[in-house]
Amino acid sequence: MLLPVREKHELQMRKGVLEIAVLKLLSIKPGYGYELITIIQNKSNNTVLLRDGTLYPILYRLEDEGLLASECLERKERAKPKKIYSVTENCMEKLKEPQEIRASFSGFVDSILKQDES
Amino acid sequence: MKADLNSEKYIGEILKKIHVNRKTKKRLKEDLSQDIEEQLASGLSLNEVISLMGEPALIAAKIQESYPYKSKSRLEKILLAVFISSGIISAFQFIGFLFTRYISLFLGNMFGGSKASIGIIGGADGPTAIFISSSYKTLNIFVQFVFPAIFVVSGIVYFILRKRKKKE
Repeated sequence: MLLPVREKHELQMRKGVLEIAVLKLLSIKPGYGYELITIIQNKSNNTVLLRDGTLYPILYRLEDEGLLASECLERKERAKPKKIYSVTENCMEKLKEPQEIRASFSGFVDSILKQDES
Repeated sequence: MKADLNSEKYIGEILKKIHVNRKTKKRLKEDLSQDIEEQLASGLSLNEVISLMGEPALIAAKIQESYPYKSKSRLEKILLAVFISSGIISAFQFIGFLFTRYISLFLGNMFGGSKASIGIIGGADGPTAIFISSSYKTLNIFVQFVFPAIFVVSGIVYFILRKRKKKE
């Protein structure tokens, strides 16, 4: 299914921001999908309701790029091992880049938008 | 056990509706199973979990947004059907040729056989004419090569079209 252009751009922006948020949260403490969804929902006061369908493609893309790694941890209380995502060493350097880019980019966008108002 | 079967069915419904590679499907199956298990362990019922997560079609559509997929055109579907069926027929022809005389005879009769006969006409005191008669049914030669040829050509065209679509 191909999205209309506007929705495509919104999706890209949301994904970009969510990627940084996911990387940051996992750098603090490794976790799994449902845990991340719960944390983001709580931190946003239920304004951001992240769904599995949005989160997992992000996690897989980051894993394929080498920024995340997944491992299965054995659990005594349950038969199935638990799958946990954690950041890799590559990730810590990469985490700085989006924050710097975002800061300079948002400043640039603000200056362009203000130009129309004056 | 029943909840496990139903959650497997729910995840199966989601995965059926997604066009992604095998690796991604495997990861999705692991992660979605774990999510459901964690929510069930927190005290929610399966129905509550499903209503929170959403209908399989909606989840699948959300996942598919990240993996753009172009469905096969009618021409591609026809080419694929021709590729598969000509491949099966070619495979049977090859098996019949190599292995069983009976199968090759049976298939040979089905798709036409060749007859050759040599007749000697003549008397003891006269010139002897050797009359050779043979008839090769053109159908036999035709079917020996046409199905493998169709198999190869349809396969090449199909894969070229799919590759071109993926590049777009």
